[in-house]
Amino acid sequence: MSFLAKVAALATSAILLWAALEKARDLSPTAATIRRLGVPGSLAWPAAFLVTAAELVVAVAVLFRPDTAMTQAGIVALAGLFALAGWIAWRRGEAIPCNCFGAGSKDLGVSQMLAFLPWLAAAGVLRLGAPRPTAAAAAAAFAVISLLLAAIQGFAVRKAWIEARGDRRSAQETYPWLPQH
Amino acid sequence: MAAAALTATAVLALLLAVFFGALLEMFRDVRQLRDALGILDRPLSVDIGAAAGTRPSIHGLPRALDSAAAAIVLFLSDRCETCRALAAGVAKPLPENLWIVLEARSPDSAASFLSAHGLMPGAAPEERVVVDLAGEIAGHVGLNTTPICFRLQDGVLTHATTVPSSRYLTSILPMPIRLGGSSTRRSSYGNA
Repeated sequence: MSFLAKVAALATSAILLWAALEKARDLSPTAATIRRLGVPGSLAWPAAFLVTAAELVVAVAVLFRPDTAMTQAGIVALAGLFALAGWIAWRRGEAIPCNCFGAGSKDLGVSQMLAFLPWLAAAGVLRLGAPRPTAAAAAAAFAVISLLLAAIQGFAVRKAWIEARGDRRSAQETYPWLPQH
Repeated sequence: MAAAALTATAVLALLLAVFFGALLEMFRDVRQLRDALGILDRPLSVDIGAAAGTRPSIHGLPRALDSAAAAIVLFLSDRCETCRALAAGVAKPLPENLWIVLEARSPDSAASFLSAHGLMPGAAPEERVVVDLAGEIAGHVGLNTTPICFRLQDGVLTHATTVPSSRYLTSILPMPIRLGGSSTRRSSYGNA
């Protein structure tokens, strides 16, 4: 159970960290989603900030104190919030962008409701068998996950950089043929 | 102490991930602008229909291509500006596995195009340059746009793509691997 709990903690933390990072870069898509779910416009931005901050806090708490009821409740609360958003969008039959992992994600709906189950399972596994890690072990896991996320983004940047270079060089070839003004 | 250092590393890595994400957005923005302007270095696949899997010679292309293990046949036109850019940018003499078919309105316009871009060093065009005066070859293959490159594998036409730039053309040229050398290198240029 301890091994399973460690895997659940790492996976939960990585997913929540990724979601928080993508939202943190630009809160406006998340605020727009919250507004479309029926929250008044003036509260949408604070709500977007709170959701992002809660994801970050729970992600870190899952690594450092997975054994506490507070952390496990945090996972369930966030998952419940996501499922509620999915349910509202599904009930209205509207295509509301999820922006779960930043702008460009799919629409809210059944996926978020179904995802409630694995979230709940992760919280349950932590409840049943998560040991309290040492500060060094938790910090090491935090560092590894963070470096992994940075590396994934770094590879995406490298690919985009190579494509942009190709586009630039290609465009450069056409300059001599463009009409002069 | 170790925990603090690791946590600091994690925070820095998260910041780095955020910066990478912002940079990625910027690249995507620029790509969107280029897409709108139509200056993406993105080749488009061309459906060659019944020509796929056929021998080049039945379309009027040189018989030597029927025995080519791997080659590129680049269709250019004397009326296409991108074709001029490609002709100007291609290495001279032509790379070993590159053949050029030039659709031209007249013998004069063909000669003018070829000499302007160093593809007619003497009185005649280079050996792997074919002039398609009446558009017979292009018509037989079913081609109505340029620049297009056809890929040949084991003596048959396999598929075709548009050629947005000479950078792209260079990147798709077959590179035979020569054994016995100190390293893998691009095939030597020049006429066989």
